[in-house]
Amino acid sequence: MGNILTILVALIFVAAIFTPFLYGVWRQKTGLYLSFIPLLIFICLLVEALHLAPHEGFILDTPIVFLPGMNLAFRIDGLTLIFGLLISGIGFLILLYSAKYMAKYERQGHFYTYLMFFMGSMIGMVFSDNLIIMFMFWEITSVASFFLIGFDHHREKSRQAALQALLITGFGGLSLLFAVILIGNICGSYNVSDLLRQHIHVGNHPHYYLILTLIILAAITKSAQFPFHFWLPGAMEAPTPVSAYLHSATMVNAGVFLLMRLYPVMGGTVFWKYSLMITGCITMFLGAFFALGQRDLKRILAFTTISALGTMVLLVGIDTTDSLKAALVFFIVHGLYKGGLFMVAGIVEKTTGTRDIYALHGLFRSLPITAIVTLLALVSMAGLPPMLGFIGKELIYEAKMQLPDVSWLILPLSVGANIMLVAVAINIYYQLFTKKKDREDIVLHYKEREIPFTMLLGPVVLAISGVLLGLYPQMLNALVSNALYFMGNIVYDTKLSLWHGYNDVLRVSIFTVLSGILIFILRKPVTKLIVKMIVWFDIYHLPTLFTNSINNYLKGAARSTNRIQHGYHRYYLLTFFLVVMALVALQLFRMKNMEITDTAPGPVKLHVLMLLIVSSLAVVYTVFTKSRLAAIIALGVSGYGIAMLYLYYGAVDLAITQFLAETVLMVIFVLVIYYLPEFAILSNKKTRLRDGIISLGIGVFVTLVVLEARFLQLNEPISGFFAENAYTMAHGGNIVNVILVDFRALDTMGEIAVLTLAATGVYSLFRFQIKTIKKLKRRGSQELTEPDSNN
Amino acid sequence: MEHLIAIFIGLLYACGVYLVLRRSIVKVILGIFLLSNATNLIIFMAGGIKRGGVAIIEEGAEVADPSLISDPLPQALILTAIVISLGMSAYILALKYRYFDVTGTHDLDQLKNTDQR
Amino acid sequence: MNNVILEKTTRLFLKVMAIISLYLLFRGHNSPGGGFIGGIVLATGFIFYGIVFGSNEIKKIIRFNSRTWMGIGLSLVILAAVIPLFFGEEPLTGIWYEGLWPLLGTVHLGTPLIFDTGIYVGVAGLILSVIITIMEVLEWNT
Repeated sequence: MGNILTILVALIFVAAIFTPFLYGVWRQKTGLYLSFIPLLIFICLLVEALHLAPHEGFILDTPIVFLPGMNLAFRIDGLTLIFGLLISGIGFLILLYSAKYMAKYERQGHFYTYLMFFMGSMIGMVFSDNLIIMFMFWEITSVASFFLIGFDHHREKSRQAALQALLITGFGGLSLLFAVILIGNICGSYNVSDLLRQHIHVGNHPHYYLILTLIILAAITKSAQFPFHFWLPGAMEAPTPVSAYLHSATMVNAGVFLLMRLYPVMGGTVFWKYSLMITGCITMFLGAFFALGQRDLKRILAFTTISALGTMVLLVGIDTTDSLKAALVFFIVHGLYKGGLFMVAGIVEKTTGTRDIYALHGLFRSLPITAIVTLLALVSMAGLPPMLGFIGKELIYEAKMQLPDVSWLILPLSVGANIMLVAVAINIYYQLFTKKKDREDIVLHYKEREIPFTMLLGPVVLAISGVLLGLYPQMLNALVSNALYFMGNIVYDTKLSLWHGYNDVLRVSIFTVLSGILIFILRKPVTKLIVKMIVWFDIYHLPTLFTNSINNYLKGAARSTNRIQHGYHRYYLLTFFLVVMALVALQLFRMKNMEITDTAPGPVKLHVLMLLIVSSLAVVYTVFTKSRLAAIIALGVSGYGIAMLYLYYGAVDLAITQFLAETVLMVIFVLVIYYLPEFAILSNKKTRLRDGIISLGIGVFVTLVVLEARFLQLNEPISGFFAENAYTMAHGGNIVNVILVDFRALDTMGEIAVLTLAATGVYSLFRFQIKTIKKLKRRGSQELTEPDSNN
Repeated sequence: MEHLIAIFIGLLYACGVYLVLRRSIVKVILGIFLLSNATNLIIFMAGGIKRGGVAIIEEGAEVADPSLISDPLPQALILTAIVISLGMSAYILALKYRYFDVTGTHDLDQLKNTDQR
Repeated sequence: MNNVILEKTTRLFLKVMAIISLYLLFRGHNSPGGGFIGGIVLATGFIFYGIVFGSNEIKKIIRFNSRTWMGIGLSLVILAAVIPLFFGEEPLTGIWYEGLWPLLGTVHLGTPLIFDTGIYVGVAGLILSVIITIMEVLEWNT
């Protein structure tokens, strides 16, 4: 079984790469065929889930090696199975759905590539046992989501939203990498299974707060928590299948998953508790609050998603067994109803052409199936029986009530949020499906019969599973217990049931529903108030603020780049020389005990002195002469002087080469010289003076460095080796030549290659010119010869 | 003696740097030649120079006394460097000629933008 | 340039330079000389020849394109690098043959000689290529 799973996950990536080609063959059926892969994965995982022993998790090792010593290994336990089942299951439905939904889009092949990459990396992220590999998959999901959100890349808004999402989640990814490396360093292993087996907890480590901050940053950016929540509504620019997939059960839940996965290693401290609770609370309340004021169906759903994510983070933060259980169940609940609702939003948009809920009404008659499915999903969202949502909400209330020290704050907030969610749910249904007498009927682009069954299948299946799990919640018991065992190391027998008995929790629930209905009845003043508040909030409009700060940053970068990269060749060199000079000066200053005076200077030979003087004069003349030819000849003189110097110190080969090279160079230069412009004084006097001073300074420093370097005593000069072995090993008497052709032959080989390149370069620079010259000549000679032949 | 050569190298560098900082491209090329020569000399000096002592093993002898000959390794390196700089100089000259041909200017300040004709 | 003496001298100079360069190449392993120096000496002879007679004359003498000569040099170098592989050694190891030949006495032959010859041909080809290209552009052909 395990092997099949591995192969299937690999197959996703393979399919992702080949999708553009497959699309060429399968066209509109691509999504349909591709959906078999997640379906098979779902079945595999279901089988695993049914066979999973209560307190057992295991590792599927694979031969795929990402990094040395880090195999791609899959970890199968309750937590990963819950996430994996939802990801693959909803993935299957989404692929079916997008086969039709995307039918009119361009570049569908690319769309499926991104979607498959996203799906594969999401599954990989959830199951990978190694934290580093998990991070890699985490980043792939960010990148894939960037392409998916910006799929309509011809729209400015879409591109902006995609960039925003990428920047924010990418920032989170960086902090995750940092945190993961720190954890690995502290614990000595990057493997989750090792961490769990050894019961390592980093709570007492001095770096704990740093790591925790980084992890929380990663989680709240990915899971769109306040104050990073704004990328999620922006991401609604994506095609609806993308929103339905990324923003219901997968991408945004990655942060929650991360918190749950690392809970045994990091969790349970006061800092963990309060930071997560505060973030979660704010997000939960704000999300629900903003959802009430929206008109766009997808945006409403986005804000309710934010609220739901806040709830999950809050539950993880409350940090009791019950709250963790509630978080897990709520994750399932949310994935089921939100995925369905997004798909419904897509159907409504396709059939009516708008997503504005206030522009629609009375769709029940024309879209009965959709309406019923929506009703079920909304009931789950509002937390009413008999849906699984009811169980989830009951558990949440129960968990929150257990915490006497903070429940006075959390409970009102979450009840408030839930009241608003109930109102939102009723409002959506009321606006979309009930008929208003005073308005005309909505004209549909399609009838429901014409909606292909693959599009309806998604919401229907999700709604039905919501009902089924609500009626028979004990199906989840084993999985949740197992997940709890690996999260809290608690042996806990989960018993989920629809009916808890008449207690405080139920009373709060009833109160919630009733208040929700009340708000719905008062919806007009309430929405007006909320819209007013949203306008007021817009002064601190986070997306704009974010975009502006990014833009300003880019402007600043461009400005500084223009200043540094000014394009003036000599100022680059000047900077370079000055910096080198400063560094050399610093080093010379640090080596205060220079030993120049210690060694007696060698005897000054008169003929060498003459040589140096002549060469120096030639060099100075090169600089100041106005004649090009004179400059070159003076340069040659100095070169010959250097050759003589080599000869004087016994480097015969060197001297010969220098002589010859200097000669050849002068010949080439003289050939070209009269085709080059005359020397002109382009700089003014001030610049020349400045350059003169700088170059003199550099000369002085170079002199000092040479003097210093000359007395460098390397421990054992390697030259002795050459002197001793040149004849015995390489059968050559000329040591320099032996080094060139034998000991260091590889260098020489490289050099010959470089020379070949240089010659080829010269040729290719002139190739066209030579060709035109030849052509002209041929024409010219023809003109010349033709009259001759006539004669 | 070595001090004098060190000063000579310094002079070569000063002149080379001055030429490289000019705006006229011909002068820049001359500067590059000077700098490459000077750098070769530095390498030569850094090896520790000795009067005489050609780095050749006598006929019939098996080994040479490292203390008597001048260091062969920097010599081999410089030999390579000289030939390479010969090839490079030829290339720079050709490039310069072509550049002047196409743009008609020899002022480097005119060459600020990459997309310039 | 119709200077008979100059032309005769140039032809002679080229031959002398060629012989000297070969001499420098072959003695390079034991005395000053070698592939680099030999190659540049040979090229100098050709440059002088070219200045007097024009680049087309050089082309006639060297038969192949000068860049082909560079290629030949490079191939020789690579050959010298590859040969040791057949003797089970690392690439570029010197493989030596030592034997007693009639008339010549003891003969040392080895892959470094091939290597050095490659450098000789390559360097000469490089300088010739550059010179010929520049001369053609400057229309120094006749």
